[in-house]
Amino acid sequence: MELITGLTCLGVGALGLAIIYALLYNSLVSKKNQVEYAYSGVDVQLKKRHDLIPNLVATVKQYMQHERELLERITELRSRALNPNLSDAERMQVENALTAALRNLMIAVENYPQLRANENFMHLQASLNEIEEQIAAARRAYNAAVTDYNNAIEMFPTNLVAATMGLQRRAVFEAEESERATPNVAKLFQQ
Amino acid sequence: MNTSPVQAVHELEPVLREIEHERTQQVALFAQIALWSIVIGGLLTILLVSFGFGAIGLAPLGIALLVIAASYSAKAQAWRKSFKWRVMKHLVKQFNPSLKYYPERYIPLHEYQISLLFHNSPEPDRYTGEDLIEGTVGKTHVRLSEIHAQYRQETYDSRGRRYTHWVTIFRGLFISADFHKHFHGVTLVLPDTEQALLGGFGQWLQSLSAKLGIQPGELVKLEDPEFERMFKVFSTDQIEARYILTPSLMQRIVEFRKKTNAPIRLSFVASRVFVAIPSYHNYFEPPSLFAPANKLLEPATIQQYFEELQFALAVVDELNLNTRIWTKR
Repeated sequence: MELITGLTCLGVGALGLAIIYALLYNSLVSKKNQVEYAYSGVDVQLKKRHDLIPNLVATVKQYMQHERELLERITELRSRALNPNLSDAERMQVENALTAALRNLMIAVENYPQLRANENFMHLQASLNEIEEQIAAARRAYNAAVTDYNNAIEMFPTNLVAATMGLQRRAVFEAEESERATPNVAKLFQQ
Repeated sequence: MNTSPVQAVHELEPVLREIEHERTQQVALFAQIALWSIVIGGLLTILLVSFGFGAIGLAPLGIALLVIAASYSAKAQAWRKSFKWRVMKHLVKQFNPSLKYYPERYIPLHEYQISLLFHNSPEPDRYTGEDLIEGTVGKTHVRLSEIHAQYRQETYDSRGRRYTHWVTIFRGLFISADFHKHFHGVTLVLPDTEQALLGGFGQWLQSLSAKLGIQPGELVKLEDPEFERMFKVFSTDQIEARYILTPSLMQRIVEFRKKTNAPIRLSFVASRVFVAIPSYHNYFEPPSLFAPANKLLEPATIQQYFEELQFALAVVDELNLNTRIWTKR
C-alpha cells in the first residue's frame, strides 16, 4: 500500500515538474520568436530605405555638383548592404555607415536652395524622414524584445531551462558613435 | 496667442460695456425682487403669527425665499449664456482667428467611444458637456470640450429599497487632435497604478491583462524610466507604438503630465491623438453675477480666459504636433 502511495506521489511530482518545464520552455520559445520577429521588423524598414536611395540619388544628382563623392559612397554602401553573404554584424555596420552618409547628404542639401524647393525632392525627404523614424522605432522594439529575452535566460528559474535549450544572450543595437557623441566645446576652442 | 489681453479689451470694449451694463441692471432688478419678497413675506408672516396661526404663519416667508432663489438662478443662467455667446465667442476668435467656439456643444459620444480611453469603464448612461472649441492651430486640426460621463449604479439596502447613484467615469477636458504621423493600429497610454504599487509583479499583471483581452494588443515596455513610472502602454503593434512614442515625445508627455498635475491619459487611434485631462475646474465661465462693476473690462480677467484657452490647446505645442516632416502633411 505504502509503495503505491509513494509511487503516486512521485508520479504527481514528476507530472508537476514536467508541466512547469513545459510552461517555462514555451515562454522562452515565445521570447526567442519575439526577438526574431522584431529583427524582421528592422529588416523591412531597412529594405524600404534601400528602395528609396536610387530615386533620391537620381533626383539630387542634377543639383549637387560638389557632392559627387558623397553620392557615390551612398550608392556603394547600398549595394554592399544588399550583398546576401554578409553576417548580421557586418550588415549592421554597413547600415550604420549608410545612416551617417544620408545624414551628411541632408546637411549638404542646405547649400542648394533650388533643390530644397524641388517638389519631388521634398517628397523624397519626407519619405526618408519617415523611414528613418520607422527604423529607429523598429530598433527600439528589437532592443526591448532582446532585453526581455536576455532577462529570461539569465533569471531563475528560466535560466535552467534556457541552459538545456542552449540559448545564448543576444546583443542589442547600440547607438552609433556619431549619434551619441556630443560636441566637445572645450576642444573646439583649443584648436 | 495673437492678441494681448489689453488689446482684446480694447477691441471688445463696446460689447463688454454693453454686457456689463446689462449685468448691473439685472442685479438691480434682482435686488428689488429680493427686497419686495422679504418685505411682503415678512409682513404677512408677522400678521399671520400675531393672529395665532402658529407655524403656518411662516409660509409666506418661505415662499419669499423660494422666489428669491428662483429669480437668482434665472438671472445667473441668463448672464452665463449671454457671456458665452457674446464675449467668449469673440475671445476665442481674438485668441486664434481660426478657432470656433460653440458654448452648448461638446465632443460627441462616438468620439469618446472610438478614443478607447475609457474602454474598461462601463458605457456611460449619462453623457454631457459644453464649451466645444474647434479649428486649426498651425497645421493641426484640433477639437476639444469639457465632458462629463457617468454611469448609473443601483444598490439595495437591507430592506430591499433601491438607491440610484451616478458614478463619474470622467469629468474634465477631452481633446482630439490630428496626429502628425500616419498609423493604423491602436496605442493606449494610461496612468500606471499597478507597477507603482507592485513593481515587476504589477508589470506582469499588466502584461497578463493584455493577454486576457482586457487591454488591446500587448503591453509595450519603453526605455524612458520616468515615462514608464507614470504610464503603462498597450498597443496592437510594438513597432508602431515606438514610431508614435519616440524618446522625445515620451519626454514631452512626461512634461505635460507634470504641468497638468492630473492623471492624464492618451490614446492614438485612427491617426488622431485623444487626450483626457481630468479636472473639476469649470472652464470658460463668467465672473460671478455680483462681481465688482466692469470686472470684464479688466485685462487681468481677460488674461485668465486666455490662460484657460492656452492650457486647453497646449497639447498641440506640447506634443509638437505642428512638426510635419514625415509623409503626413
